[in-house]
Amino acid sequence: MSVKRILILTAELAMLLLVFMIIIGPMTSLFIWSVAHRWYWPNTLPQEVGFEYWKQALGMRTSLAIGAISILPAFFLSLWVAIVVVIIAMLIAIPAGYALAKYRIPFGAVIMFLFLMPNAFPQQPIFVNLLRTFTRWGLAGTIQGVILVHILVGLVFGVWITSATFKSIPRYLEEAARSVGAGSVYTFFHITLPLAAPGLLASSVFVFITSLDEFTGTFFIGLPFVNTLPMTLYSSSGYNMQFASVIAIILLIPSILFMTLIQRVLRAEYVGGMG
Amino acid sequence: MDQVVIQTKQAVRRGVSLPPYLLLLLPAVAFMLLMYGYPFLSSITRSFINMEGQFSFDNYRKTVELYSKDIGFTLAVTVFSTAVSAGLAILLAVYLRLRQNSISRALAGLYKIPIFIPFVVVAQMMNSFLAPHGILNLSLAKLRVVNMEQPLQLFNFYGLTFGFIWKMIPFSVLIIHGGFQMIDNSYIEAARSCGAGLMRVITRVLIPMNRPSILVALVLVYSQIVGTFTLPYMLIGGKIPTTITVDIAHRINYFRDFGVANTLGVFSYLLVLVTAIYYLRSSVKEMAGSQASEE
Amino acid sequence: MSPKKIILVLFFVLGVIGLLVVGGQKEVKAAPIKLVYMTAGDVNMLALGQNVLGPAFSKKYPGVSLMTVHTGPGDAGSRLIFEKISAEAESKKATWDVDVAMVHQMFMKWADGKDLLLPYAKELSTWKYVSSPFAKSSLGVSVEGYVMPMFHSQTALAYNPDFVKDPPKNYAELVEWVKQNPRKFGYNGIKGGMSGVAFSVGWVYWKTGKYEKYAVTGPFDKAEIGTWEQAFKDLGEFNKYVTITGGNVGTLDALNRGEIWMGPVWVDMFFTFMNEGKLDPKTRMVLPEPGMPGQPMYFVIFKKAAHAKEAKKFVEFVTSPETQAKEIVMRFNWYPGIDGSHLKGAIPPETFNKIYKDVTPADLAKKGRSFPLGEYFAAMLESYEKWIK
Repeated sequence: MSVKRILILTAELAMLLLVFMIIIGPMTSLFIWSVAHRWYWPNTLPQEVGFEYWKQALGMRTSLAIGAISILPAFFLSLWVAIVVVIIAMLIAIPAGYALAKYRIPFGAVIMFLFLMPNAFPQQPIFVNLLRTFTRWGLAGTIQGVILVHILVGLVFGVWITSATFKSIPRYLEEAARSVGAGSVYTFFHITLPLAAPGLLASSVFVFITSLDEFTGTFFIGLPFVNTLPMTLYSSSGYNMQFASVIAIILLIPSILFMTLIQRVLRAEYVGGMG
Repeated sequence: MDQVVIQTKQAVRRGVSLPPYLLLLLPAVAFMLLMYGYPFLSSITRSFINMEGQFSFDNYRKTVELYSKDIGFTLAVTVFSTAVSAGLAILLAVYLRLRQNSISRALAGLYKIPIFIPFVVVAQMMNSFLAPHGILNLSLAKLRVVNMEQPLQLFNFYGLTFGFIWKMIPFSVLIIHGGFQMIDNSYIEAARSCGAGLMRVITRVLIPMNRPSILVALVLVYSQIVGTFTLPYMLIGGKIPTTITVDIAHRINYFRDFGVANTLGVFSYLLVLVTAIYYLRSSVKEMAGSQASEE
Repeated sequence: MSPKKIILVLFFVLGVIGLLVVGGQKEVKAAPIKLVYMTAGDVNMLALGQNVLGPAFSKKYPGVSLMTVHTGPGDAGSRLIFEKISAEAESKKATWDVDVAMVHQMFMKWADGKDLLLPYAKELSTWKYVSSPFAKSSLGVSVEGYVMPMFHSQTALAYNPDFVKDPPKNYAELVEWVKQNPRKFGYNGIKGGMSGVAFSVGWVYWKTGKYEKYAVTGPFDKAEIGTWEQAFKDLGEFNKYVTITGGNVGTLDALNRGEIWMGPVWVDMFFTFMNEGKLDPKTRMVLPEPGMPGQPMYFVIFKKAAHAKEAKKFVEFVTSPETQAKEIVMRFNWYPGIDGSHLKGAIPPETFNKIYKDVTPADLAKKGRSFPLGEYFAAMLESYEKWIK
C-alpha cells in the first residue's frame, strides 16, 4: 500500500473515532442516568446503580418512593398512532409532492410554504387556538384528534422531501418510457416510484419519528384521555432524570427498528447505485 | 407574470388538462387549510390586539423594547447552526457517496443515531453533558485539557449551537445523501474520465445535481431550529439573551399575554419566511430553466 | 407478489384495522364511574394519583375509579388545565371532561370572574381543619369556598455546609457573601422557574419593606412601580456575582454537581431530590430574613364536572388528617395543606424533625411570605425584564 493510501485510511479512522465520540459522548449520560440510584457530586459515576427504574417503567414493579409509573400503555399507543399517521400522511403527501415537482403550478411556492408553516411558527400559541376549534368539533381528548395533529406537523416532511426527490428524477427517463407506449400510471409505478424510493422512504421515516416524538400538539389536544410516551417524558424530564432516561432509551427502539426494516426492504429489491 | 402567461399558453398548446395536478394536490392542501388556517389567522390577529382588547401596535412596541436582543440571538443561533450543519453534512454525504469501505459503512450506521432522539431528550443529554461539572468537562479535566476551577462554560450560544448541530447534521445527511444516491455513477465516471479531480467532481457534478435536496435540508433545518423550545429552555432558560420560543412560553405562562406571545411568533415566522422565499425562488428558477431547455 | 408489496399491503391493512379499533374505543364507557383528575406538578403527583390515591379511594368508594392525568411541572401545567377548561366552557358542552384538578395559585387569578369553578369547599367535612389564609385569598383574589389546599410549599436557600460554614441569615448578608464567593450562588432569574421568581420577589420585599401593601392589603397603585428602579438596579449589580441557572431543576442540578454552593429552591423539590438520590443528604436550608414567598397547591372542582359528587368525596379524602399525615407529610415530606396541629400524634418525631429541621414552624410563621397581588406580581416581573439587561 502506498503512503498516500495509508494516510487516507488513518485520516478516515480518525474521523470515525471523532464522530463516534461526538455522537456517543452525550448519550453516555443517558445510559448512566437510566441505571443510577444515587448520583451526586463529587462522584463522576453514580454511587449506586440498579435497574429499579427500568422495572417500574415496564410495569414489573410499582413503588412510590421512586416516583415512576408503567409506560407500556403510552408506548403502544404512541406506536399505533405513528404507524397510522405515516400511512395517511404519505398517502396524501406523495401525490402532492409529485404534483409540485412535475407541474408548473400557479402559487406553487405559496403552497410549498403552506406545509412549512406549522414548523415555522412556534407551536404553543397555535395549538391553544387549535384546542378551541377541536373542542367545538368534539375532537379534543380523542385519538383521532391526536392523529390529525401529528399529520399536521409531519406533512411538511412528507411533501417537501418527496417533492425534492421527484424533482431529481430526470424527465427523460419518464419520457423514454412513454415513448415506447407505457401509460402514465404504469410509468409512475414502474419507473418513477422505484427510482424515487430512497427519498420517499427517508420521508416516511421522518414522518414516523416526528409522530413518535411529537409533544406540544399532543399535549394540548390529547389531554386528558390520550397519553403518549413523549407526554410522560416531558412530565419527568429534568425532574426525574432516571425515569426520563429510561423512557428516552425505550423511545429509540421503534424508530431504529422502523428505519432498519425499511432499509432492508429497499435493499432487497434495489441493488446497485443505491449504496 | 409573463412566465405564467407563457406557461399557460404552452399548456393549452400541449393540451395538458388542469385536473391531474389539482386532484393530486387537493387532499394535502385542503387538510392544511382546514386544520391550520383558522388557528394561524387567529394568532396573527391576536398579535394586533392589546391587553385591553383593542386593535393596536402596543404588542409590537413592547416586543421590540423587551425582546429585540433575543430575536437577534435567535437569528444568530439559527443561521450559524444551519450553515455549519449543512456544510458538514454535505462533506459527510460526499464522503459516504464516494467511498465504499468498512469505515464508511460504520460511519453510515453511526451518524443516523441522533435522528431518533427527540429534542426533549437531546435537551436533557446536553444539559448533563455540557454542564460546568458535566461529563465533557470532567473528561477533559482527566485529560488535563481543562482546569476544573475554570471549566468550559457551555450554557450559552456555543453549547446551544452544539446541541442543534448535533441533532441536525444526521437529518441533513440523510436527505442530502439520499439525493446523492440518485446520481448515477456514470456521471461521476464521465467527469473523472475528463480529468476532473475530486474537488471538481464535488463542486461541478455532485452538488449542482443535488441542489433540490440540499435546499430542502437547509430550509427544514432552519425552520426546525427556530421553532424549538425544549433545547434552549433547558440549556439557557432564564438567562439573557435567550430564544424567542422561551420568551413566548414566559409570556404565556406568567402573564397570559397572548398578544406579545403571538407577536413574537410573527417575528419568528418572518425569520423563516426570508429563507423559504430564497429557496422557492431558486427552485422555481430551476424548474423554469429545465423546462425552457426542453423546448 | 414481491416481498416489498406484501409488506406495504400489510402496513395498510394494519393501519385500517388500527383506525377502526382505536376509533371504536372512544365509545366504551366503563361501568364504574371514572373520576378525571388533572394535576400540575412533577411526575410524583402522577405516581401519587395513580399508585396511591387511586387505589385507596376506590377501596373506600367501590364503583369509582380515579383517572390521574398529569399536565407538567410549574405554572405551565396549571395553564394547560386552564386552557382546556376555557375551551370546554366556550364550546358550551353540557358536562366537561375534567372533574377535579390540582393547580397553582396563578390559576385562581386566571379563573377569577370566569365562572368555571364550583364553590364546594365549605360543604366538606375537612373544611374545619383549614386555617391558612391561603384558603381564603390567592394573590389578592378571593377564593374562599372554591379551593382546598392540598399541601403547602415554601422556598428557601439550599446550601452545601462543607463550603458554606456560616450561611447568611438575611438578604444583606447574602449580598456580602456573593461578593466574596463570586459565581457560587445560583438562581434562574425570572424565566424558567418559580424559585428564581420567589427569590426576586423576596428581594423586592426586602428593598422596599412594603410587603403588606404588595401582598396582603393592596390596593394596586401604579406609582409604586417607579419606586422599584433602584431595587432592581441593585439586583442587576448582585447578578454580576452569581450564576444564572436554567430553572428550578437547573439550580438543584448545579448544586448537585457542585457548581454552586447556594441557591433558592422549593422545599418540596429539595426533599424529593434528596429522597431520589439526586442531592447529597448533607445539604441544608436556610430561610433568610425578611422572608421568601411560598405557595399552596389547590384542589378545584369544575362547574360542569360530570361527577361533582365523587369529586367532592375525593378532595375530602385527600385533605383528611389520615391521608395528609401518611402521604403528604410522611411519604413526601411536604408541609400539609390543613393545619398541622390536627396531625400531631400521627407523625413520628423523626419525620417531624426531618422536615422542620432547617425551616422550623416558627420560621414559617414569621418568614413564610405570599407572592404579591396579581397586578403587582406582573409589574415586578416586567420591571425585572426592563431594568436588568
